[in-house]
Amino acid sequence: MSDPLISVKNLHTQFHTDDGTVRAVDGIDVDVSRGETVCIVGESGSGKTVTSESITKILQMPPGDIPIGEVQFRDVESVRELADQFPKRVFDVHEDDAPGTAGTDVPPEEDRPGDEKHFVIVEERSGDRISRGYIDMVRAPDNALRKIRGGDIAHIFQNPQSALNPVYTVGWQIVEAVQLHSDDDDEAARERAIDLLDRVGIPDAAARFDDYPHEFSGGMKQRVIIAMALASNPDVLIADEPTTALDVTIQAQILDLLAEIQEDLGMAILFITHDLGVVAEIADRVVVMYAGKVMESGEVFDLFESPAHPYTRALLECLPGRGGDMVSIGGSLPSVTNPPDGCRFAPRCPHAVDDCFTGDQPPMYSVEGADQEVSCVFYGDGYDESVVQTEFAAAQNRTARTDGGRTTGRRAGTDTDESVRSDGGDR
Amino acid sequence: MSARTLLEVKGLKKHYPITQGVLKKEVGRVRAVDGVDFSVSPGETLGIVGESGCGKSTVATSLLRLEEPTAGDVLFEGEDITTYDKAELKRFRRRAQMIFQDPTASFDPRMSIGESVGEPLLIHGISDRNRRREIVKDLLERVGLSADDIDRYPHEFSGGQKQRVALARALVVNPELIVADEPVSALDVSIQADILSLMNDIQAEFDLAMLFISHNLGVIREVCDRVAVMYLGEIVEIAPTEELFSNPQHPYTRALLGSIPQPDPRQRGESITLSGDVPSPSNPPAGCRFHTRCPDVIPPEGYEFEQRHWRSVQDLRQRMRKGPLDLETVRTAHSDAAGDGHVQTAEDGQSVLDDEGLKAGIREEFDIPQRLSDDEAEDVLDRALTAEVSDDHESGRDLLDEEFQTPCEQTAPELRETSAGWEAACLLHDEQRQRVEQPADD
Amino acid sequence: MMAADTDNTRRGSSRFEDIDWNEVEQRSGSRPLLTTIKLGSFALFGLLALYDAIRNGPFAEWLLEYISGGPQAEYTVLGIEVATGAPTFDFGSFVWDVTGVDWLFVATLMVMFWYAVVPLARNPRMTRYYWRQFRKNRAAVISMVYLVVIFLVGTIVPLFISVPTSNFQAQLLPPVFTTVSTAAGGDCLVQVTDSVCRGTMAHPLGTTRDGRDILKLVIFGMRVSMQIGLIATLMNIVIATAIGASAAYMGGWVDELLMRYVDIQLTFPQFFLFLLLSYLFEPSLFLLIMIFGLFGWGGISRIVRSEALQRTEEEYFKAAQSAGASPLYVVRRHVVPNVSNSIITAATLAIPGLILAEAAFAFLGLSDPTIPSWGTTISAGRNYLGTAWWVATIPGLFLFFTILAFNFIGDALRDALDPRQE
Repeated sequence: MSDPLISVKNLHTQFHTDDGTVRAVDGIDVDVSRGETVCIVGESGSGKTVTSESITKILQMPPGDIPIGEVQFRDVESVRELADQFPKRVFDVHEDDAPGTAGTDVPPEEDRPGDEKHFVIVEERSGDRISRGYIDMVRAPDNALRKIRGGDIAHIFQNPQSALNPVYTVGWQIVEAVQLHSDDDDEAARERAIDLLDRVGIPDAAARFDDYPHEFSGGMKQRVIIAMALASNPDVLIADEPTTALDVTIQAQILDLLAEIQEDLGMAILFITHDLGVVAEIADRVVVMYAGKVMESGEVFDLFESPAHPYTRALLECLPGRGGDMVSIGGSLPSVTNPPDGCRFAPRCPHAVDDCFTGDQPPMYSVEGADQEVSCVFYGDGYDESVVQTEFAAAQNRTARTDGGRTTGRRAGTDTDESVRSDGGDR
Repeated sequence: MSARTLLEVKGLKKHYPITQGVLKKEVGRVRAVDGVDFSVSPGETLGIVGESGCGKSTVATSLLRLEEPTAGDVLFEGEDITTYDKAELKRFRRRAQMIFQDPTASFDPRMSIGESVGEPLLIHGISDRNRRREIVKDLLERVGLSADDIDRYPHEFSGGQKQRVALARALVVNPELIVADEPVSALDVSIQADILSLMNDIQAEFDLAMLFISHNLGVIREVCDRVAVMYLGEIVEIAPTEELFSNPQHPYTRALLGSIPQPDPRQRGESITLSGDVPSPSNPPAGCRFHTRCPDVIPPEGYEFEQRHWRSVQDLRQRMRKGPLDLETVRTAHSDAAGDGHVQTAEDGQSVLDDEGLKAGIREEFDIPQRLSDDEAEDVLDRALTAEVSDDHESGRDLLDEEFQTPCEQTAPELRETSAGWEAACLLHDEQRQRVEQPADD
Repeated sequence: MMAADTDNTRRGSSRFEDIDWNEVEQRSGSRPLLTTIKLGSFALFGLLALYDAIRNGPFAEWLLEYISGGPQAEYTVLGIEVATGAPTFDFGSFVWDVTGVDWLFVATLMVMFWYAVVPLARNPRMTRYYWRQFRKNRAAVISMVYLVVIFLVGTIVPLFISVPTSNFQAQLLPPVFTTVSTAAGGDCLVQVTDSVCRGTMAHPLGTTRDGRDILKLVIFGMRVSMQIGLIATLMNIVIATAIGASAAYMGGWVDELLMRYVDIQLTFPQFFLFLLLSYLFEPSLFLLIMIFGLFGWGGISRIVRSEALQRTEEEYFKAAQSAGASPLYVVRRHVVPNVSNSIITAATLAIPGLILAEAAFAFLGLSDPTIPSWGTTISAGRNYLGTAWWVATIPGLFLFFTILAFNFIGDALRDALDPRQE
């Protein structure tokens, strides 16, 4: 398998406040590959938004601070471009040794020669051209980041009202986004903007080009924002709760649109949400966060069918409206400034044993027979993972039973589905 | 659940005037709530569900007379509260309490939790501070907080805890009806479950009637006995919860149920996607208000449409009513739809679509197939499109308007009992029933 | 969850469902003890003021003049012997003739006590929270200590000392430990050795041209400054809150009318009003306070109105309304407390302006020369800056630091109280 496009490694993001240091993200790993949708799911305060903002460092610094960790962006073109622009800050793994002798491991920062803070890391060259390498976003300076933000990596946010400037027309704002990352003249940029607006499903795109944001509904504004994000042909789209402020019927439209665009353009999407329903709808891989740590990550089908971590299961079981009994998690989020020892979820976990309360968060163990990793002591040596899975079997049965009721509704829906015009959401 | 009705709402309307100019002349009305009827019995929870802007919150505020309703009667234990004077209204407000969406905004930041919860007691005449504190302490414990919390301030509580406090504030005057407006929407899912089960327990213990307003059908399913589905100020279907979920009768209810993303990746892509946005309540569509988005909109007599294509043709027809089509978009965005044959190179070197190409582009824009299955319908559509691309918008529009009328825009359906045993407002059901009642017509 | 259910006997009537609402709704509410004391204290104050007004105030002069035929006559109203010129309180060693400004000042202090000190003391948690926020600004804490000293000295000491009078035995004495050469033109009459005039402990801050003690003048100046600042500001706050809150809460034409009046009032500076009125009447401290108090609230009322408009959108207003609260209750319990932060901040920042205005009038000779304010003293010393620097400089420093302190506190209060920053 090729390298992921973005890989977040051991990321720590902190905020220094009057009440102490808030460790919002406390050592997490996330990989996103081309053409893949990765969902980070978690409750408020889990650190999911901070993670997404740490990638392009759009968070307020200070009080924000990333003391440890790396965010690798492996887009060869960007690496080449920035290597030319910042020759002093390029670190070439093979520079000093004969080609092919050493491994491709990148030495830690303090072991690298020179005083410069390297952020363009070159791992392989074919001839003179860089063929493999990455940009370390955490160490990249602001002027390098500006090239990447909005260009290679685009963001869309939860609240469409505040993401558009109310004093400019929608068309002007998209044209601006188009011209920021291309040399198009006004006429070409305008055509591209209309094309984009039509692409994201705005009816009468050319006629609405000169409308102001307040003349659009919430769902339409979110479409405009997606159009703006697409203006630069990004490799990665980071979507932070883009449908949370919208009604369900509009949410379904936007999710369809995102899936469709991804299929067309082969982007990587990092999707932040708190809604497991949305995750099931669009994710390829899922990362479950809790109190700044990753509890579990894995392929979407495996994760929903056999959630390995007690927290993931609890999260699924407390969803309202599945027909069965809701099982509430109980307890409350741990302190952000002074988190407990051991597993962050241990104080609320029904299976917690003594080992859960000591040391650090358990490492990510692979789950046997599934594309899944879980941070839970029961998957480690000397423990029986079935302890945390027995109860799940019961829950599974219940879900199956109550699903019966829903399927009836579904069937009624599916009958009409054939007669409904499908919005092209072919997946 | 008793058979007695506690609250009965009849023909409730709330319109907001749109005014213009210095003299505040009324130029239109936002019909936020446009004639809704329902009733709630003691111990029963009625859910009101709908998208934002459908008027569900306005129902709550106008039935409690926090806003004066424009028309309609609200009977509380048989008495019409819309005719109450100040003193009677105050007494009524003790018996009907409200819980709000935002647990942070619904508490005065300058008051301790104890003062806030005890405030309704003070307003209704319990002036003994110590007695209020005793009652509040007891109540705080019963909603799962500690009596020591009484002197703490709202900012010291989490959202879920604040919503417990809000429940305590609503309960403290021992009401008979609680109106809860999106009480868990601002909370995390893991907290929602706690609050919902607390509400269920409390309701069972005190035989409370509850009006539960939410946009989230999952939450509604968890707490409600019956559900009313609202669309653009009207109730389109009202049914017992489980029955509604298993056998929705109104196309809108079906679409709403179908749009909820299910936490099961095996079911992805099965959702029903409604086209377009909710129309403005200041100018609701004629006939059935949902007909502009309805996937099951009824085709006219005499044409055989595939339902999906009929919806698309309706979209085109509704669009043409608003004005000439935006051909520039069609030219820029749909130039490849027409096929190479229709692209001509103009004098300035740019490629331009000819009329046939434009027509094909319009069809693509509106998801209409390049050829409809019904020949007569195809003929009408083609003539209309030809007129449209040759700058004769009026005749194209009129042709579509006349030929492709749907009964849904001519007749406003009323809430009628359906074959499923509950009420829905949809012509499809009326039609079905007519067919059953008058088989000779067929 | 319903753990309390098991022991309902212990709790008895303290459960909400046991309240007999039929009984409660019949009964009219009784007042809590503290409210009774508060109302009692205001009533007592009112009676005393009325007594003084009849016996000794302008009303008394009018009575003597027009009813009994002459100022020397005696007359009795409601059993009170009318006599002008007699001090209000005369307990032998403690004599205090309460003037109109004094009555206003006492009223101001009472209002501050009942509506600032008592609520803070009754909510120790909230008070501690504000204090923690306020404490972050060290300059403001120092300023507060300074102002408290000024306030206490200025209000208490003048009760026990008399207004300094001319003493030609001690003209232009320098402050203690400093000397000034008599050759430089000083008129120093005592302590002259080697043609040097030395300050004495009898007049630690020196004396003026006519031999008045500057320490005493400064202390009386403190009182004048505090009176100006606090009375006029309190009047402003009360009027501004009433006008602003009613405009916001009632809306419609009431709002329109009140705010247009504010517009008009703001076009007419109080400075010129005072100039105008001091030509018609005698310029006095009372007049100054009244003009600034009655016509200076325009800006604050606008702040109150816009704040209140924002706050009435909040859900807790709806919550109170849906609980059955009357509009007056909502304004009193929710609108006013929630805009009070902005009011207090705006008021604190307005006080320096008032004190400076008084000083400016005094400096221009447009105030009652018998009132020993800092401004009058500075004005008296301006001609001797070369020979007797202390006359103008010492009260000037007090004025400077007082203004600075109020500004520091205003800024700190804005940071501590402004809920928009939370």
